[in-house]
Amino acid sequence: MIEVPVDTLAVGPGIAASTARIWRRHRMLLVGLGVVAFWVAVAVLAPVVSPYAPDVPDMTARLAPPDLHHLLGTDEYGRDILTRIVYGARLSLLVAIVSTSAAAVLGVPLGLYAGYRGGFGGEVVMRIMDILLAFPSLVLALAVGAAVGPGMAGELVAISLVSVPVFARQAQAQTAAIKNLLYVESARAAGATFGRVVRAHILPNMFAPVLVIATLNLGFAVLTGASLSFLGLGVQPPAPEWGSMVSDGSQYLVSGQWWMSLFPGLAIMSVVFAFNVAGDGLRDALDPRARAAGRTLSTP
Amino acid sequence: MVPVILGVFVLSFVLARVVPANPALLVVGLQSTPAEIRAEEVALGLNLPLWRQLLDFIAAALHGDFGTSIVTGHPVLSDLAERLPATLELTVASVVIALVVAVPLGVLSALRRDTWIDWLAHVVSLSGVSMPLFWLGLLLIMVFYSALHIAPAPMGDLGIIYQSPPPITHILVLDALIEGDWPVLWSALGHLVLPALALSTGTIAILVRMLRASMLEVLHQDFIRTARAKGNGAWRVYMVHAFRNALVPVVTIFGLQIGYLLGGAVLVETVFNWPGVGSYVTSAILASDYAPVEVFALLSALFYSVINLCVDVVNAAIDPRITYN
Repeated sequence: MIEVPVDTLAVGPGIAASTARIWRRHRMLLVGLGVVAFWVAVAVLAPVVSPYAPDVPDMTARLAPPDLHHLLGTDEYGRDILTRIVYGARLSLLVAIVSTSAAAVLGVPLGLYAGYRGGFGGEVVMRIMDILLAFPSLVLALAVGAAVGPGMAGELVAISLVSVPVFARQAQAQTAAIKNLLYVESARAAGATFGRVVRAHILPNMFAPVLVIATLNLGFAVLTGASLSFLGLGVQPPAPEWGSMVSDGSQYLVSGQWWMSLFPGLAIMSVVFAFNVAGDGLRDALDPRARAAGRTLSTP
Repeated sequence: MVPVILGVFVLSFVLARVVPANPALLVVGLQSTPAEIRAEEVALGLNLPLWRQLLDFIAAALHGDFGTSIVTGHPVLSDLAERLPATLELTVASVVIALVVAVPLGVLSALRRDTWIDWLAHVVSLSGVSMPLFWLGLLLIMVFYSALHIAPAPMGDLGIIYQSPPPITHILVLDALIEGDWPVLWSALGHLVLPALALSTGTIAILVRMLRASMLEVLHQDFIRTARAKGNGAWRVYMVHAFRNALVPVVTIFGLQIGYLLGGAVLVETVFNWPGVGSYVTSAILASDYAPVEVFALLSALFYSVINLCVDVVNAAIDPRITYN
């Protein structure tokens, strides 16, 4: 008798069983995506879920420890920490999404060009990427952030620029490998144009690895953005930026007001953790052969 | 490597000179007359064509002239040189901690796959890369200084009641050791532990992850089976045959980690008021004095490039199959 794997049976196991199987196989990915979804919901629903306004001082409630009125306490101006973390999610996710998209939009075509055409132009592109990679990432982000000046714009430019070479290198390597595959070569021999080869063969093949890198880069962007704000660059107070909230709280740490730094830091960590786990999970899910150990990007 | 180094200079020049507002204005102040600004521009060479300014920038840099810090009034290079030993001390200490923790954890998690130690390694490496360093530093201060009172106040590298030993190596712990000044040594070590621990977490995370993956890959190869079949003991197989071959990717990652440590030092030194290069950069940022930041970036990139060259050399020494043209 031929044994048929359970997975392929048309009349599969019940929904519960298949859910359990998906859960077992992609536990980390699902946990990561779940936490990301939570923070996205928090960011979108910020005005609905937050009990107070994020930037209205209340001098009667300065430095209040966590209690029923202020679940995570208040800061030195009496602003509710929970509310500021909720609104801060908007800033952090916005910075992460915009800078990662910008890096992908710049880096992928550059890498694609370098990988497909090669030659002098391709060489120049990749050497420029090497120059960007010659700087430690947080140090380059600091230098760019300082050059553009404190503020959201400087932060976005800094994080995007630091992330571009990661995408370009991946795209270049993928393109160089894919364009020499037999079926792509035969497509070219049959007269497929550059645009056609890119659309039909290279981009679809590149999608999975770029998605993994983008997910990991979102975590890197949140962490780097928070680091820049902590150091006084990036988004400026009174905006409820998580990194600058930790920085504000650090002055009150020794005098016992631990909640001001602790909770925003936990928020940063949970988001970065979620993107890292989701990125790793995606890599395993999209390419089962990929080694469990790849480069994790979220280290500034 | 030469084009990359040249590119590093060009990018630093762009960041330092072209992007910010008129540097002459920063020097003479906002209240100055247009004539004064004009004169300062000529003095700084800002009236010259850009390519000429770039060449002057590179020439000055090669002579060790990286400009003057507005905050301290000293040349940036001498400020950085003065603070380098403290950063070196912190970084080396963090690397030592990272190796002591990560090597056993990474190797054991590969050898005892899917046991509690593998699980522990997974948690350590995931949270290590996700935690903001500056926040971890603050947590350590909160627990060990504010709550438990066993760590010294996060104010620099030595208790205020002690006097630094005469500078021989300029590295506090070493100087105290040479001098045989035990109270100072004890205080210096006490101040070093928490910042070094905070800085080491990212390195621990990456090392554990790489070592585990690298060991797992090596352990499945034929020569390991051969080594076993020849009657080698388990320990010898693991350490001599597997570990050495697992090291190549690990050394490469370790080189990359040096760059991470340079960035991390800025964060950790700021949190612990450590008198190193990193806290200097932060105080420059807070004073809107951005020239030192760009110099720090330039020097970091040069240092980082040299380190990665060394990594290639070390890898060639570990694995004779690797050759470079």
